[in-house]
Amino acid sequence: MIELYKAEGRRFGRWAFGLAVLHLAVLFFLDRASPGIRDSADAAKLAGFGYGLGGAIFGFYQSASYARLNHWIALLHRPLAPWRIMAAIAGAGATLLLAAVLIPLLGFTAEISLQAGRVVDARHWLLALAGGVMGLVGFGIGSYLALAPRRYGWTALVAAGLLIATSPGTGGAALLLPLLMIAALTLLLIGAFRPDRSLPPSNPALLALTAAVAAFSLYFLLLTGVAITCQLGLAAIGRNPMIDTPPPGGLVEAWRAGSNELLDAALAANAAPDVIRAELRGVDAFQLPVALDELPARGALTNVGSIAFIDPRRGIEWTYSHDGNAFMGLRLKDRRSAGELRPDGGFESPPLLLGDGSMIAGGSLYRLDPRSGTLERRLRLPPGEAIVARPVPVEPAVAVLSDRALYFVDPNGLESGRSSGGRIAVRLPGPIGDLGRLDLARLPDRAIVSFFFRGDIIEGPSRAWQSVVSVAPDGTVTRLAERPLGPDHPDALRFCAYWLSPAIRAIAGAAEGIGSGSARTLRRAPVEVPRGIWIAAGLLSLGAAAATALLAVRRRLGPREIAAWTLAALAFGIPMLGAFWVVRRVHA
Amino acid sequence: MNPDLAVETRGLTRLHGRKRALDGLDMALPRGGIHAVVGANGAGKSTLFRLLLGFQKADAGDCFVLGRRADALTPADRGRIGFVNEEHSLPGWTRVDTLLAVQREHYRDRWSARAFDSVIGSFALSGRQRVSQLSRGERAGLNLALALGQSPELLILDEPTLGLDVVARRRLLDALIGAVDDEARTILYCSHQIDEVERLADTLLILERGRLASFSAPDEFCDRIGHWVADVPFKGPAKGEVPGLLQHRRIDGVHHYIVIDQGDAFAEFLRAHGARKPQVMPVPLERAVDAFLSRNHAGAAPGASS
Repeated sequence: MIELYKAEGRRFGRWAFGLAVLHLAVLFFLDRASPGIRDSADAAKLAGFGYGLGGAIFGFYQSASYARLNHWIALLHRPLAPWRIMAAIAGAGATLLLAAVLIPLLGFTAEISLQAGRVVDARHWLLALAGGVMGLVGFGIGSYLALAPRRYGWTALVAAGLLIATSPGTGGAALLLPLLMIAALTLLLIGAFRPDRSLPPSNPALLALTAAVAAFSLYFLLLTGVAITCQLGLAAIGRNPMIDTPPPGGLVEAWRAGSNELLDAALAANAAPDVIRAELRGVDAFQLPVALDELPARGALTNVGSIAFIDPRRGIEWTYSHDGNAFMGLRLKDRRSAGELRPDGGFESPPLLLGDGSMIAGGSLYRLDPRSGTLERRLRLPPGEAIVARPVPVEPAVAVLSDRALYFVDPNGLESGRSSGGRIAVRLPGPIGDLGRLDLARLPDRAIVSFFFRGDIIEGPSRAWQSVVSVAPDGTVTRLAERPLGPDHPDALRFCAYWLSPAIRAIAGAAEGIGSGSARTLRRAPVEVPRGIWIAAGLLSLGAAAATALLAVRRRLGPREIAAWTLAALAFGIPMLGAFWVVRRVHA
Repeated sequence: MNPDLAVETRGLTRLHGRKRALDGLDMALPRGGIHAVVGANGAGKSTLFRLLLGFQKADAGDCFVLGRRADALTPADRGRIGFVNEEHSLPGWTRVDTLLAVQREHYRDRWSARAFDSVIGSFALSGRQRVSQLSRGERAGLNLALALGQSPELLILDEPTLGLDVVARRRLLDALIGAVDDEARTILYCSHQIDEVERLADTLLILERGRLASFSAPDEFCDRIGHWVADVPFKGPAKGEVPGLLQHRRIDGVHHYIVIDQGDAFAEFLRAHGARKPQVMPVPLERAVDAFLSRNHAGAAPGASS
């Protein structure tokens, strides 16, 4: 086995060395040409995609060179178990890929760490590791695509792509999912590495994994298919709320309404005092920003925004270090270290820079004092709360949205740093993750605030509703109106994730947000699924199980395998029937 | 399953789409000797070898190699079976010495440097040469040397001389004959070159449309085939009336009948149809196989008439 490994290593050794040198040169060139690119989340994501794509191309090329039947026979017909041959061949490819990706990344990071004033945290080393891991994920996908039967080889690409694209992991947790994917892809490859490649794995565990990956991919493809079909069907009959005139009182109409219209509609629906509605007509209501999609999290591999700012008076560039939980200074004139900058008590969480030397971190707002050059806390929310959006001036106050309340803060208090007494809190009537829109109208004697809650997508299953409150200058909050916003799309579309496969939906839901640094902004109200959807899901699962059993009998599978496939289809519904169709297509 | 057999198939069937590449093939090859497999293109020879090696699955029937089900060969079983295909699919990027090192490691319990050297000695190869730099003949020699070096109990050769020039082919066959001195070794040899078969084979298997059409020693097969020459003044017997007819030609008014399994009684048959002085001549193996395989091919024999 070791000779096979070495032979395959020699095959690509020179290429890997050349690529590693080129890779290192590109990294240094980019760093010199654009020093901030290392801290750019977009650049990191693009690089990760590039490593994954490069790994996929390499994996596909390497495996495809053995995929023709005579070459396959020449490779596998030897006194060595197929998995050991795979370990030698794929292991050599993976080793060289890692060498070409990881060594330059680690070398580059090490060189940066030696430069004065450059911040290199543990997360930067992890980010370098992530580059290699992404390359390996791509390598596994490419190899599997080349070797697995075409009927279902593509499912690994779909599943891995979906998981990577939607991975919420932060810090070390961000590597957990790709590492699990590498393990899964390795097992899939072992299953595909068999003399007759037209057959699915014979090992029950590997067959189950192959089927699970296929079912997972088919589930999301079916979701997309149902959504597109429904949207096109609604458009064809002239009842697509996204294209045609939406029904009155519905979600889409409210979503498109101007701030004044939205407030007025809610007040009118709840018979609110006419005087308020009349007053509203005389002012211009406007929208406030809702929660950011992502907030800085300790150890996050990439940055939500810039992590550096310049103190122009002292000529110092401050860059935030996650390890030190402080800004590290670099004197611009001589490129020497200028020490650390941190507020008293330190940061609750990594700061998000807002420009002009101010920043939010957890429940606090800080600003750089230009005279002293120190960070002063201007606002501190109650413990456990975090600011989730950029503060916005709303004369005569500043609106600050936290994950639990909307605060109106006295700007003078913000300047002095003694804002705790001069603020009004309006508790959020719903979870922050569902808050899709926030509108405000300033009346002479009060403020009117509209909270618009919905799920993450308009045609999704979440309940949509609007709550309007009045906020008096003394801090009294009065509820003025609350109205449900009817769903404009049919339940078949809104709940297709549930009726297609409740089990896969439940697994995906449970995994959502695991290891995420944005868990605060992901808090959502539970979805209420109509009983009819559950009945439909049950009937479809029963149908899928019956169809799977019938097909399995026709394909002359053994009784145990028939039972296993049938139970799997009963549990996971139509996607598992599809998985059976593509994976177990060959007669036993 | 008979452990004394090198290869055994029972009702072996393999479909390629709707076509039956193998159609209920029954075959039992004893251990030892060289068994030549011939057949027209598409007769199922390569499919048979892939099934024997477990790289394709039978749609029906059973297939055993060295006493083991072909679809359940263990790595140890594979170590006992050598295979050389017509493309000599060695990795082109590998150097000869690397390839040799890999093979030696994998077959260290069975490796025969003598067998390897006896073949490779006929080819002036450098260890630093890459496989892609070798000529087709050199690649074939290296492939055969590697296969023989592993001292296989069963060696499957799928048209190993395909595409080789006369010199390379002779060198390869000489090397093969020189190396095949182990009576316990079974060689399953497929070739379209009947002269090779004649030179090498102990038994001859003729595959036709996925079925075993003949299984005998080459001489016995030739003995079954007769070439009758007769001067028939008239039209002669209709094609369908001629017993065992494989091929009929009329050259310069003289009828040439190649028939199978017909004794001296065939002379009487010809005389009964007006033939004068029917004579039988021996048939060389190549002609016999050609006639046998072309009997069902419309217009296969140039100049044939009915």
